[in-house]
Amino acid sequence: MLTRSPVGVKTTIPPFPEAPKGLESIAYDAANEKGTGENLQLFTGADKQVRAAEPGQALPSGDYDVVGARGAVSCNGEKTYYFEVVARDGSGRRGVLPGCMLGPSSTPPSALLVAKWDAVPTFDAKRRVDPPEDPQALGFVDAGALGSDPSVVGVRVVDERTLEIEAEFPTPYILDTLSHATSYPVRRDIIEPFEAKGEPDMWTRPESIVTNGPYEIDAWKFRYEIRMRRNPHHRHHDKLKIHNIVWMCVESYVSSMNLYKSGELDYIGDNGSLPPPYKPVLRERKDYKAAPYLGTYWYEFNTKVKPLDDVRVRKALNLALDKAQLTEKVTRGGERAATHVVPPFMGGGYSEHVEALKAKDADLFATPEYSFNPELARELLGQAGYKVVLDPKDGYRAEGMPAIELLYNTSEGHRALAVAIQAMWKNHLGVAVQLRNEEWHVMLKNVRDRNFQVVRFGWIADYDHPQTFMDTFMAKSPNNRTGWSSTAFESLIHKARRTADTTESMKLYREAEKILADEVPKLPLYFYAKSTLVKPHVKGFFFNRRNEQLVHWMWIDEDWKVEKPNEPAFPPETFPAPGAF
Amino acid sequence: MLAFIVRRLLTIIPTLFLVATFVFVLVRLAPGGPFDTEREVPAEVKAALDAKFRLSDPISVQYKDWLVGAVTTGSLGPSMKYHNRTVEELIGMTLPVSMELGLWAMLVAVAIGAPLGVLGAVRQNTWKDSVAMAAAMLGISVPRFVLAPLLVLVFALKLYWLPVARWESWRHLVLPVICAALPMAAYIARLARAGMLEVIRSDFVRTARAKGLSERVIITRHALKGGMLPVVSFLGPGFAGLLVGSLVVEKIFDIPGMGRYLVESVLNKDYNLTAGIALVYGGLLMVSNAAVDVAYKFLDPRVELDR
Repeated sequence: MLTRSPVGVKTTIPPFPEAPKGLESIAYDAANEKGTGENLQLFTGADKQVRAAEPGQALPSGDYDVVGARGAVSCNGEKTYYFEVVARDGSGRRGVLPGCMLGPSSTPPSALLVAKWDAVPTFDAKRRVDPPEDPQALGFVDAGALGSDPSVVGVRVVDERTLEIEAEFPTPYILDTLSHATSYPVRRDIIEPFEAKGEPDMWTRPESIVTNGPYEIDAWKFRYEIRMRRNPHHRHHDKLKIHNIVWMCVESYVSSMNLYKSGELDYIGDNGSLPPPYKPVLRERKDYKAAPYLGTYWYEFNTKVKPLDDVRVRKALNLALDKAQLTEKVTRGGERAATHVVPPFMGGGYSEHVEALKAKDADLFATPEYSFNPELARELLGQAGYKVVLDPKDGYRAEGMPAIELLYNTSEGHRALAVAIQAMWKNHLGVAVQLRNEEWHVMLKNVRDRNFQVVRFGWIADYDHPQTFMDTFMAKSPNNRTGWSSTAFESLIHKARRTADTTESMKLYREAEKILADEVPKLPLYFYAKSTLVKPHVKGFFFNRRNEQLVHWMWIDEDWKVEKPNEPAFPPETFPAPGAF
Repeated sequence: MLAFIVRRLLTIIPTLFLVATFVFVLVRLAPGGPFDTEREVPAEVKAALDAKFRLSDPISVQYKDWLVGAVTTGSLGPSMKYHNRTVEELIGMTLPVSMELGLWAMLVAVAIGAPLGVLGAVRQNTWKDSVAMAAAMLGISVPRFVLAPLLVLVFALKLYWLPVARWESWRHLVLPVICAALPMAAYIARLARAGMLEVIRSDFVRTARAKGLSERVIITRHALKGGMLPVVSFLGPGFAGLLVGSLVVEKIFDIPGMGRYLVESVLNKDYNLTAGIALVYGGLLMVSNAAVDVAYKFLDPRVELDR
């Protein structure tokens, strides 16, 4: 993959004169020693561990330029392609980030879903005089513009192995977005016949589907189980220690717990967390695993209706919630109370930035102004015209404050949280709250019609960068249902996403987050955590903030009772190490 | 007899038609649509989806096309949630499983319930009667979602005799069948007891006794047929109830039956699947009721079907 940017930073470091050491396992393309790469900062900060071809040769952390990019996105076939990366600090450190390929080498170019270079009208940077002030988030091209001119996408195939993606600004999370399921490559020759028949969905059926992961479908009993076996075309097929997988599709938690207990399941799965009532018991077990998960649970305000159009009311509602108690008493799965929207363990340089702030005791969102603060909340509500008086019998009462309606989709967990919050708003502010639960599709319709006051939602990161959360606050975002928008916020975000320097960029993101914390269009409640059960004989299981567990790292340990380090099934080669997700 | 069966089956058609019409219209009237997501879908995409599933046409046109398709080709349309599956395929995969579970459960229910009821009636007001009826009362009162975890706990997780869930071998059948059957068996026991009591006190039984027939012959040859009438008339709706009620059993024992789609398709606004499932359940209920009517003829000579 190759990215090119009008604002990309040029580097003067020449590419390798010859194949670097440690490349025995991947063929060096001597015919193209200069590489075709343009220069774009792809890796920033210490969060991304760049792996060398051989174990133990991981690149030192730092800033890297991709100087030669000759690989593609998915992983199948030979090991011919890789990224050449060079440190940007002038130290001359360099290395190889092995890439992977779109298909086996026998795959003809026509099998690639993306059209060939000359088949797509080329994006001409000169034709577009100014880069647009408000570029769409990556991957979300305005459908109308796409219809009139496909070149706006700026994605094309340079040759049968190279996919070129043009970015309008430095996008440090570009590789990350490509690891999202929506950008996995698919076989054009498989899909197009179905499209021609007018049945574009049918290629995903078990008898037709062609996948390119390390495992392929063996048998698929719809909504009962999927059996997988090693994919003989995958370059690691002889290294995989687990040869067959049975994915059980189990509807109820009771049965999956029972199946786990009776030894029929090795792993409870990652689709949702364990039910809260089980957690206090399970937490004590050795096979219980929990880790923070890149997501934020929040309540969204309809900022166009009274009294929630008043920022002081929204802020008061936010400050009156003891979120630590919510996570300790209600959700109980290791979630963390949220005073701002981006999880502090976010990648892209964010977590380091937050750690540094915390070390200096300068974390703004830990101050009483943004934390649980019922006095300040009552004061703010009073300023908004709803004086909070203390009634010796009934507790607090906000005079003149109409009852607020809290909408959530029918679910035990959402209800428990809503009830707790209802009580907190009553006890600390004297605000009456009516709960309204609706089945998911009905709720979506009412939210779309703006027929709500406060509604439960959340956001799971699409990629490991604060931008994924910030996008949902943009005025044009389809995920902004609040009616809230702020030019100050948007200009900060535009600046932050164009800033190549990570520290500077993260500073800007934090500034933008302060605007969100001050204006509270959405009320963040907690940062997600995922919990599950894994049998102790399953090794190579790495919990990560993405909650992505790759079976090809896993293996079954026959004598698991002897404590051993948790290692992947074979040394990581073409993916970043599992822990570095 | 044959004429009756044919006529009885023919009346199913207009009823099914009504069921289909009601369901087809009602699911579309409920708020929300099958393609709602939290992210607002671009208008073009929404239009394309609606066009693909014919949702942009007026309901009358959609209904006409659906009905014509269903009658002429037996096609109930694609599922709106599982885009690569058709409704008849989903039903075809799951209905046999539910039927297997339901039939076994009914068989077991009759095998347990009927003898218990007869025993209660014959030994009325003895300790045997009390025990049988107490057991029946318990069986009716304990809901399946309580019974199922108890069965699993004892027989699967403590004694390790049977698997906890799934649908693989005959051993996987045992617990769910028992769980589905017990409440029904209890109900059947009470019906059988009441039916038998009524028959035992009737004139022809007294006559038989007066003739000096042995008690065994009286019960098996003369009383049983009539005494089972309430049970038989319950079997029709009972079987349908078993299928619908299997939702709980299927969920707890993770059985890939049709029960899960019953509620789920409505929640997902999967219009085609909802209509298809309503048709199947409706059809099953009506067919089993018709079968009961026919069975009556054999059990009770007074019943004349051709009237």
